[in-house]
Amino acid sequence: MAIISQNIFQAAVFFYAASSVPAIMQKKNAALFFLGIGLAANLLACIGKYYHAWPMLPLYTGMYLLPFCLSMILFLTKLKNEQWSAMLPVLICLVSLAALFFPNDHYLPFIMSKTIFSYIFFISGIIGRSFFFIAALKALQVLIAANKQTKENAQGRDAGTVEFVVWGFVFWTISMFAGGIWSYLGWGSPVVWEDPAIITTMATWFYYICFLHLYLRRVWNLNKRLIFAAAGGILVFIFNCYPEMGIFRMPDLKWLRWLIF
Amino acid sequence: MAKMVNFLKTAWNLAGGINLTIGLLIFLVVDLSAGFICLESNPSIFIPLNDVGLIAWLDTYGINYLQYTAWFFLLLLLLFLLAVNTFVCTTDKVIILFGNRSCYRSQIKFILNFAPHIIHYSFVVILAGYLVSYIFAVNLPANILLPEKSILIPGTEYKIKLNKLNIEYYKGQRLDFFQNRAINPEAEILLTDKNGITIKKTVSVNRPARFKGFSIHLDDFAPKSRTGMQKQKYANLIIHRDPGIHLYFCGMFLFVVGMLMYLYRWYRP
Repeated sequence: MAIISQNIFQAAVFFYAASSVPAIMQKKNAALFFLGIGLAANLLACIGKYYHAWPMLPLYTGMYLLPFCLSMILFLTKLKNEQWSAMLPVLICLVSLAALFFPNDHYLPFIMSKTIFSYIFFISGIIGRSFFFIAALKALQVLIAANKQTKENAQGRDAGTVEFVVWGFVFWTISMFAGGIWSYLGWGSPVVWEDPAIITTMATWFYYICFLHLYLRRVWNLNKRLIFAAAGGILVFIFNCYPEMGIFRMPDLKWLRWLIF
Repeated sequence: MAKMVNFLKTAWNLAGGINLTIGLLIFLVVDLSAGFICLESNPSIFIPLNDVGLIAWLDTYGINYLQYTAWFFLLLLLLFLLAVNTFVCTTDKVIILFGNRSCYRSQIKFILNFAPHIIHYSFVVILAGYLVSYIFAVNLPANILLPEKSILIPGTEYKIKLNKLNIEYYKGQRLDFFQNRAINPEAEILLTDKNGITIKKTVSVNRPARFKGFSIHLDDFAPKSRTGMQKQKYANLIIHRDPGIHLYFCGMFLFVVGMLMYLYRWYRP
């Protein structure tokens, strides 16, 4: 079952990569078509991983779920404009490649994870992360567009960056609180100082609180706020994705050899 | 007197300023980044923080390993300043909101405008909960119970006895490596108070029992596997008394309520 999930995920990566090519060539429909197949394969691979570990939580599979959440948000929000179709599929492809070549899911599930709060903590955290990445891309997109236009035209447009940050913040907060409840039920304290992830989660939370204050109170100008949101994507990657990645490993592509020969 | 009032007003305004908020939040992110490096390289310094409490930890590990713990001292200071800043700023806004109450035709709109203030106040409540937890919580790890043997909860006259340890082993097909390993351990314990009244409770993984202000968590147990060398049956319990936990959970609940109100206000037609 685990091997089948891994093979399906390899297929998902293939389709994600296939979608990024027409995306760069501005062929929106073809990009969305391949992205849709990749999304379905990614969903199947994630279900397989969950089915395999049930009733426990398959920890360290965040990098597999992340491209799925990014693609899902793309489809749900119907962001089909040209910039999106180029940037987001490329990001989804890169994230899925990172999961494929730097897997960290060889840890066995443990019985402490057998609670609804661990699932809320994990899934909500991934959804939050996805929104932050999309907000960063949105901000980058506006900054690039503003460079091409006159400053007057660019004033006052954030292209919905803050909306994505708000949703990211909501899911991130839910994840943090669910983690706190899980930690209390399992270990007797809402903060367990054994895992450095607690620090990076808090740092990310405070970073986006800062962004929301900058935006809602108009403390900095739009350009600086957008740079702050774009930098958030790098911060989220370093703090929350990089620690979940394992060492470089070549994926086992036996099924591909069997298919070819 | 007038000078004093002016000074207090200036201090109040400074304490609630948005620039201070931004500065503190950026410092917090930088400080936590340093904390991540220190915690990842030396987790053994920070693990006892849960067991011994904040004051004892600061007095021992905190002072003796200052090169690794300095960020934590700074974190406490920054969180304190942020709590003060949040409280002052929010109180100012709430006073203004109440002052403008007559301007609101709709009661719902008036109530929804409290959303960010509920979030801010609940943040302060969460921080207060943490502080109370770390200062006043009693943590008693490693209470090993053998079947039919009772022990005293340290520092009390309450007795705790392991009546039964029911372990359900994994029988499914999906998890090969989990075959015959414990999936659902349940410790049935008998708790006796100082009047000799005994009650029965069940403790399981992620399902603590509550007794006289204590929460009792299952930390470890044996045997974990049905095969191999059979170990003596035991349950290792964490016994915890945390007066801050209700404050913390109350703050969390209010924070979520505030967020939902904010989202409703945001998307309201």
